[in-house]
Amino acid sequence: MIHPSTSRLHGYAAGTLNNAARAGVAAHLERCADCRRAVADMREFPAALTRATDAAPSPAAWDAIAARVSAGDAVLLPVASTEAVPVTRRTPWLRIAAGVLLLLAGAAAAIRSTREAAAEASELSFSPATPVAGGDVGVVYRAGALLAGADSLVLRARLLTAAGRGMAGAPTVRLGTLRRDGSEYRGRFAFPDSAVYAVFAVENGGASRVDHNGEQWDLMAHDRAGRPLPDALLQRVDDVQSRDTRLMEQTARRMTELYPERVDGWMWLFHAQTANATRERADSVTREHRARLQAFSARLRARSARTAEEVSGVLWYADALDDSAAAHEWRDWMYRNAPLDVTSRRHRVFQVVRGRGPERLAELERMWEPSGDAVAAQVPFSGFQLAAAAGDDEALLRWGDRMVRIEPRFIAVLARMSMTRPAIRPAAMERTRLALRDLDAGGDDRRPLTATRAEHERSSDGARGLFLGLLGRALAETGSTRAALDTLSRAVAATWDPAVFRGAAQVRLQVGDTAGALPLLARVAADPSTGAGFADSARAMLGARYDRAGWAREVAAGHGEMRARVMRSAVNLPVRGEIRLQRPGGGEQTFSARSDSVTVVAFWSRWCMPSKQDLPELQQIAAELRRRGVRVITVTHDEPPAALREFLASNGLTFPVFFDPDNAARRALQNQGTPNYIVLDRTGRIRFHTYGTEDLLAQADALRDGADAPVDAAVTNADR
Amino acid sequence: MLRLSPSVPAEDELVRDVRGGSLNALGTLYQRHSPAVFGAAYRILGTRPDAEDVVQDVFVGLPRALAGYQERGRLEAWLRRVAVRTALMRLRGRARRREDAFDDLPELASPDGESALDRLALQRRLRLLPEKLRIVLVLKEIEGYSHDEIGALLGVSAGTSAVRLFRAWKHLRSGAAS
Repeated sequence: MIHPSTSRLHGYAAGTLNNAARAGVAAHLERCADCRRAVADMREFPAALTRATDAAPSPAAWDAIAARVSAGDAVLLPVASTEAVPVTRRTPWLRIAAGVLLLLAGAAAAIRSTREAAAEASELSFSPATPVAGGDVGVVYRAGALLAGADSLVLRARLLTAAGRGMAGAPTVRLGTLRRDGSEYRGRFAFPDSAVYAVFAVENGGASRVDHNGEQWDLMAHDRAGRPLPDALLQRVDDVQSRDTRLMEQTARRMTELYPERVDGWMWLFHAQTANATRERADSVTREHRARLQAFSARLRARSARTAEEVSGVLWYADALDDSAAAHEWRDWMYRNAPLDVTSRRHRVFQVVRGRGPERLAELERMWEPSGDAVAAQVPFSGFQLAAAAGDDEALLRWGDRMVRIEPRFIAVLARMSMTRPAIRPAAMERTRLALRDLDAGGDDRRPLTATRAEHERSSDGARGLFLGLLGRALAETGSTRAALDTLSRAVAATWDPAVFRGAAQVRLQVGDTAGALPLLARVAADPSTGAGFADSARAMLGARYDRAGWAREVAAGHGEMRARVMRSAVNLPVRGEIRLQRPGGGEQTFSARSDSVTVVAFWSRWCMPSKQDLPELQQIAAELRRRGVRVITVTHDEPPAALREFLASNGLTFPVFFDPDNAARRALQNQGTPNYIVLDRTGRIRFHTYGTEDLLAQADALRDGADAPVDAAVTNADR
Repeated sequence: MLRLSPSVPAEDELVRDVRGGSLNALGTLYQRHSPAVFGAAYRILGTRPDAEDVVQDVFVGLPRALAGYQERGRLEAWLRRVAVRTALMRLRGRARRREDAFDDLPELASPDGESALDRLALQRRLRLLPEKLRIVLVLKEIEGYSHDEIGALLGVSAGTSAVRLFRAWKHLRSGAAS
């Protein structure tokens, strides 16, 4: 008897054959018990096997899980799949139980606002979510409140290559257009060949609104088997380290799981763990890594042939761990066996920078080649640092110019640094003029991924004011009074900066222009960061020119000017839904956006480095704000209250802290990450949405003084 | 020890609470779904310790992973997909270490219907399959992946996946005959 093939029997069992084929197999099955059994097996075996193997893990498994979770252990799961999956957090909508309760309480409006809020969150998904470099990626964007309505939107990305971000940071590029397709926006782009990691943002055509979701939308390049490339994982570690050290640790851990033989993964895991660990835990982390370093060293020693690259990896690990014996051993090997290798030269530069002694600049000079490779290109940046630290003005200019030749954007750094050295003033002024020219030439490609065009322009204006201020004062010193006054006027016009006003006032006073100095000093006095004692100094500086009424008038005018300038960066957005938060001790608290006072809401995270660095300042500013009658609410990631209390206490932080477990406040206030400071006026509208604490006092003041003033129509329209 | 609370909480509430860091909610999800996660991992890895490691990793990683979970399908189906991927990752690591073992689950609590002997027989049949064939059979027939998806997961073509599936069935048949 001729039996049907296995594939044909399988097709019969699965019901995928056409009629004729099915009839043929059925006829055979009538006569053949063997094949009947095979078909029955194909139908039954999978389910039977599932029943036989879906079993409870051993009782100890849960204890281990609970212990790991409680210890803050985190595993980055491979949730990406070939189907389009959301890369962002999605929030659970419409909690029905809560809705019913509210309905019973007769608060139908509140339900509607919750439901509206549910539609506000945006979502960006990629297909495939595990792209290969050079591959095509489909994009679906569901717009939230921020960007809903436009016909097309722009997809931008910050791209990192395997070689890293370079000295001036990773380039931000426009990847393409997303077109509206029903309720979603769709587009495609080619994952650039050279890139291994990308972070995305979506914005409207004029870049007045940017949805970056706290830089959580990202993609890594994968291999054909769907594994993220090692370089992609490393670049992600590097990119997220400044905004989420927990994600950094998870990514590094995933690297060590996927590529345990790669020593660089372990080195980054060590850096990430020390960033997150408590002091007590840090010691045991270091011990574990030292043991691993010993194992890597032993394995390397046992090998008869080694490459410079392998040795270099272990050497960086040893340097990171401060294991001088291992570092010495492998550095010695490198310098003896591969002195000219790229990695060896990189270690040499690192050694020179880390070392001591006046001969280091001369040593770098020997390593420097004007048209060298990537390692040679690093040398000027090190030389500039060393020259600045050593106070060697001439070397500072020499290395600085070389640095700028490699990376033109560093002209700003060179200008600022050289202007602090009186001995090289003329050369420094020349560099400052170049920096101003560079600012004027800078296009949209310099705009960071997360910044709107207006935010970027404001920050350029701030830099312009600073450079013009420095230049104006230097011109005054050299006796070019007219040019100095002219330059300083431009500086004053460019930005609201008390330091610039003070400098300009000093020059006015020097040339005997007390009348011109008066409004400048009054602006300094009007700035909320200026102490009360300043009025006395101003009075002394103004001498006979001072009269109480005139001074009060000027300070009031200064206030008005400050308010007008601060309000130029204001927005006017509604709060969507309720600001519903949870007290760390348990229990919900709902804040109404409208209040008798101005409200500042600060979103922070102790796992985000810039946010963590802001905290001491936030503590001071929050105290000052409350002294001025401003309501202050701070919101952090949900975490165990005990750990949070300990963190707050050990850092002397006393501002009120809330959790946002449902992301209700995050949605309501259109928060996209940390640090983020949101200022509401008394009518409950969002008026400032900023990333730094430095303007909070001025913003709160501006709103407090003029909250009932009509909103500038131009601002509202541009913003809507 | 874990206990299911008398008023059984809804899955979406549990998901929300796990996102919010609740260990109790995680425990409830664990009690409900750990057998499915364990089974998915065991069928790929074939050893109890390996499968339990996957269970641990999946549930430790769950609070964070749920942040990206979209409530479209059943949580258990999603968990099984995550378990499969985690197990495949582990399998690759094991291949590098050149370990291969397949052990029985004799101490399993008896699920409905099958006797302990039947279950052992089923497990043994699976164990007789070469690993490459076993993985495809499990992914296709039990986890319900398409050949395209299997190809992407394993880094082979969809055609290779289909060929392996039929070889697996052929193998099972000849094993059953012998």
